Amino acid sequence: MKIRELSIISIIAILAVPSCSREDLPGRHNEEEQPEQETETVFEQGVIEVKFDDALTEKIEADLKDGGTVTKATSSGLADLYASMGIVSMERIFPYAGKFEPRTREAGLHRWYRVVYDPSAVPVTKAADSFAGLPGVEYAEPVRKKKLTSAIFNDPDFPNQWHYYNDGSLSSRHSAGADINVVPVWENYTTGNPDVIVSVVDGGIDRNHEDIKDNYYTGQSFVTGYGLEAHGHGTHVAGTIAAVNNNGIGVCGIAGGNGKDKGVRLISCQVFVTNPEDPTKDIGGSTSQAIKWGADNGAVISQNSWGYTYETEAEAKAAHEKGLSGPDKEAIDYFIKNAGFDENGNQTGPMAGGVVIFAAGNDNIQYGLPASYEPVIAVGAMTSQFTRAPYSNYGDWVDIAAPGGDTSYGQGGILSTVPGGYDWYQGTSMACPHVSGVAALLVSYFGGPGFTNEQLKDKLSGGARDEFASMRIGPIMDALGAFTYGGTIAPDPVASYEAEAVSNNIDMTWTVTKDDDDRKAFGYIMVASQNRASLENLNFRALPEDVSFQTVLVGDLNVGDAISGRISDLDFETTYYIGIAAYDYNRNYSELSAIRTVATLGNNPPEITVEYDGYVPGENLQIKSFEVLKIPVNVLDVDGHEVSIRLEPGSDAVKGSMEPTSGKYVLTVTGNIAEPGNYAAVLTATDSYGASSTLELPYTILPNQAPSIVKDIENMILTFMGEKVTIDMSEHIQDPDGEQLKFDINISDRNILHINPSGNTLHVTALGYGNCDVTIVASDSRGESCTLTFSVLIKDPSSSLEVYPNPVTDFLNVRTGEEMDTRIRITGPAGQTIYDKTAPVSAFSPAKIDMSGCAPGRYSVTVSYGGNEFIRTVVKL
Amino acid sequence: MKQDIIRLLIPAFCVVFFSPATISASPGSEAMPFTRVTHDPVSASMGGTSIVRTSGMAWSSYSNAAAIPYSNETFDVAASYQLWQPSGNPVNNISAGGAWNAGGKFGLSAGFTYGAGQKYDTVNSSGQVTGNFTPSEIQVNIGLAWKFLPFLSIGANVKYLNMTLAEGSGYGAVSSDIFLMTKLAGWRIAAGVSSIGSKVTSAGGEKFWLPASVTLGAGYGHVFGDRHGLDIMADADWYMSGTASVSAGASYTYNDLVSVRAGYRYGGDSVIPSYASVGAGVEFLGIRIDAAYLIATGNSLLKNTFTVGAGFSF
Repeated sequence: MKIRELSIISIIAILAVPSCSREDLPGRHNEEEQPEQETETVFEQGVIEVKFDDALTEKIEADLKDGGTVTKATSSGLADLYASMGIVSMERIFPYAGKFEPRTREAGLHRWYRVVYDPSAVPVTKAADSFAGLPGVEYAEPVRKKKLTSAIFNDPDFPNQWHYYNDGSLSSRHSAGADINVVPVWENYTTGNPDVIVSVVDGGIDRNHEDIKDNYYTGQSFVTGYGLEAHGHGTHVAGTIAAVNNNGIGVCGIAGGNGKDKGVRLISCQVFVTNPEDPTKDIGGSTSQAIKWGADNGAVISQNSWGYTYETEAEAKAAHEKGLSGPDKEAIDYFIKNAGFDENGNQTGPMAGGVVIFAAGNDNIQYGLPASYEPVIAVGAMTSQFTRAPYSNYGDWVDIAAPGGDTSYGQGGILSTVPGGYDWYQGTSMACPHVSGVAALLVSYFGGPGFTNEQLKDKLSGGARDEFASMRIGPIMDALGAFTYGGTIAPDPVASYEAEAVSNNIDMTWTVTKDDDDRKAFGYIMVASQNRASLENLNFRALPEDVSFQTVLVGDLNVGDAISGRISDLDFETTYYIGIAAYDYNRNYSELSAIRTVATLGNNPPEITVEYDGYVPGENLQIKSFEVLKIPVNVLDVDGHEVSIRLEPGSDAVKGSMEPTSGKYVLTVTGNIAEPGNYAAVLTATDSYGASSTLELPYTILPNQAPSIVKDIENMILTFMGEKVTIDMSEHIQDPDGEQLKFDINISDRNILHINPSGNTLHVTALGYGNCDVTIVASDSRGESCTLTFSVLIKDPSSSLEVYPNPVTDFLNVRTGEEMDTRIRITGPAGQTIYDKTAPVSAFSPAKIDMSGCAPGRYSVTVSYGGNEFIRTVVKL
Repeated sequence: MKQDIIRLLIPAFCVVFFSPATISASPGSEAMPFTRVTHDPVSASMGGTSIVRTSGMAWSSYSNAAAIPYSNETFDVAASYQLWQPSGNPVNNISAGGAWNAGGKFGLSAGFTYGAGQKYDTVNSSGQVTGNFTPSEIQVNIGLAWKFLPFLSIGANVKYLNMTLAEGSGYGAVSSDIFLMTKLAGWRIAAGVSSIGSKVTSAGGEKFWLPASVTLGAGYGHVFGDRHGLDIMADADWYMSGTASVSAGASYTYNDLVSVRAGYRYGGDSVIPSYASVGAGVEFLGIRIDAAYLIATGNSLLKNTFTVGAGFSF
């Protein structure tokens, strides 16, 4: 008796309330999926996924080795599809796996191919149908588009922008949380305001870029002799700050609006242009002019992803120690002092004074001017794994860290706009605009008369996460932290709530309360204790040991929305004092709500219910030897406790497992694994507190009956290549059990004929002229079988006579159509008659002439039948 | 010396003459029978007789080089085109030959034939056409003659035979003819062996003889009234396969200018079956043009075979 055990976590549906998960960030479950329509729009265009059988796979592999184009598979029809569909490429979905290749092939994964073709040639569904109809194709389907179920914006590349939202799902080199935590800001505060202007001191922005143009304001070139022109670096930086959001194309920008409301405005202060004589190098312009021009044209944030070049580290160190001087210093000071003010010193912009943000530099050294100039915000770069990017300059002078990426691994870089498209870049140049973008969001939300640049800097640095200080690139920027930083006002307390005991759990429901400085509570803590005094004057940062608690995040709920949670694992049948307190992002706690008493209830054992039509309690399940039954069993613990399931299968035929999608336990009974007979499976469900229930499931595996031939398959003649014939095997072989038999097909010459079994139907396709013998072994699941054989002749009707092989070494065959007396005369090279006989000959009964005694040479074979005479030249070797 | 040659030749004749019954074979078992096809349009029009033909010695390397010393010419060259058995498995043969008669004492001759067969479809063992191929045949001869007695000459030909039947499948063999010949008054008589040579091995490993035979030839020529020339010839072969054939032909020439010819070959079961033949030719200032046409009965594939040729001699 074998025993299977499986732990089940959280079966109760109550726990599925999305807002109650501690792990969830706001808004990551806020979209209800709509049923997809089966139209072309739900599929990737120009791509289908195909699985071939072994024979065709061999041909295709040989073809691809030869040059990547299918040629030898001509007989399968692939070559025609290549032409008609405009196939661009065909490559393995699961690429060559090195030392794991043998087991990859054993699993059949080498037979899966992704076919990319010209999408204008044919719709994907039709393309898939075309492939599916070919001999040797086992599967052909279009590729359904994937989507991030929780995406806040519809920009298709947003899921790849881990630097905004990193849940660790992109790869093993992406750590959850290694982002700028901007999504909650978009959901709860702002997506940018066009009153805020960011000057991008960089290469020119591609102002006509589809994902930027709506947020582009103006620009000026500060490179002598050059007008504004699109530059890859500048456009990438600009896209990070304010690529247009929710427009259904490309990427997201941090302060790029929401599709309805525009984001912050960008001005391009061009200080680099691509050198037309050496595209790998840039021609520089006046950075000081550019910085000042930004302040004079309404910008309050100056974005600078550039630095000075030094020959040696020592030179950089010396410059660093000397500090910034010259016009750049003066321009920076000017920007900080005068941005946001008019010529009369009146604040006209959204912020009094400006901030200048600089990239720390990419030399992996401890120095970096102008970033190290104290008044500017110096930005270091981190990777998607909470590590300092290997290139990032570092030191105490670096004010803040942001994602700069690492393109040495897949999707490790920063994805943003480039002229005419999108690309992955890395560098502190890419980290810097993340800070500029968040700064722009802060100004968008908090900006207005009296809001100063120092307040902005306080929020940026104060809200940053400092748990990774060892990176020496400053604390990690946290957009939500910046927005909530400095809040000292706790959210409003919970005025009223409902509470209900469910076994030893207490479910509580209340409404989201507001926060005067953070709009709404960030989360709630539910507490319970058997001692009322423990809940009075509660210090939420150091809860007493006798207080049980559970926290709930508000997420994307708004003030006034209902929210609920559960305190679990309490004592059974015990009276508890309970309450709720709200807290903000800075862990300012409200007062505890009114304390109430709730008595927990007793423990209920899990309930086991078989959800299978053929199951009648108390009766044996009848299972035929070939059958595989899947019997869903619903194991429900109304108390919401964890449940473990133990299965005593009764025989090897029964196995049990949890089905993740349905949450049900599924018993799989495979009839052919155990010998026929009577058995019983016993299922025991036990909750985490030891309460259990048992279900006994008796079953009978019926004896197997072998398949048998009821009618032979007659020899057949096909008359052209590509001709298809179907054979209904149920007319020829029957299985008394009604089992779907497995057909193993052996064809003596697979270049001539292909047979594709589909259920009980054999699809026969002529591939070339000739004859072959077909052997079909029909087997049931227990290996009992019967065998049918027949011959197939593919014969060109315009050529009624076939003389083969030619050249001949021993026996020469002469085949005609219908059976009739046929005279065959063979003459030697000089005219000598060496064979002359008349005998009945037909398609399936060819004349067989022994020519092994004939000397090598040319021979004439004259065949006369039905009043016609044919002469063929045959060579004897 | 001369007696030594005679002593050597007589046993050789005896071996071939009196032991063929021990090496008989079935039809089709003789390799490269094309070597027995005559490419001389004069011989072709006279039933294939050629052994004692002393005019047109350019073709002697194909039959009997011992005839060269009896020729009236010193030098002779000729070429021909032949469409062999056009009604089935045809071959286009192009041939050339030449001979030099050194004072009626010695002779030297050479010949070459290239035959292009009909293109055929290659078919695999399933009956599936896989391609096509055009077979071909090549024959290269040289001959030497020595009239070692005033009334007796000896001649020998050595032939290299080759045929290409399929891609990568070629066969080669060496063959020889050896004859003694005499001429008395208007009579010419020759005896010898033909197509004695190496065996050909098939793809299956079997070995096949060339169509070797013991050959006798006789002929008589006379000019009546200075303008009417008559020449008759007959050949007989006893093959190692146990079969035999006999050919006979006659030629009438008017004023050394125009000739008409006819002949018949009884082939029996030999490599070349029976046929009748006719032909004609003209000659002027040493230049000649000849043609031959084969008349075969029944379903013989030889019918309509024709040969045309030209030559020059002095």
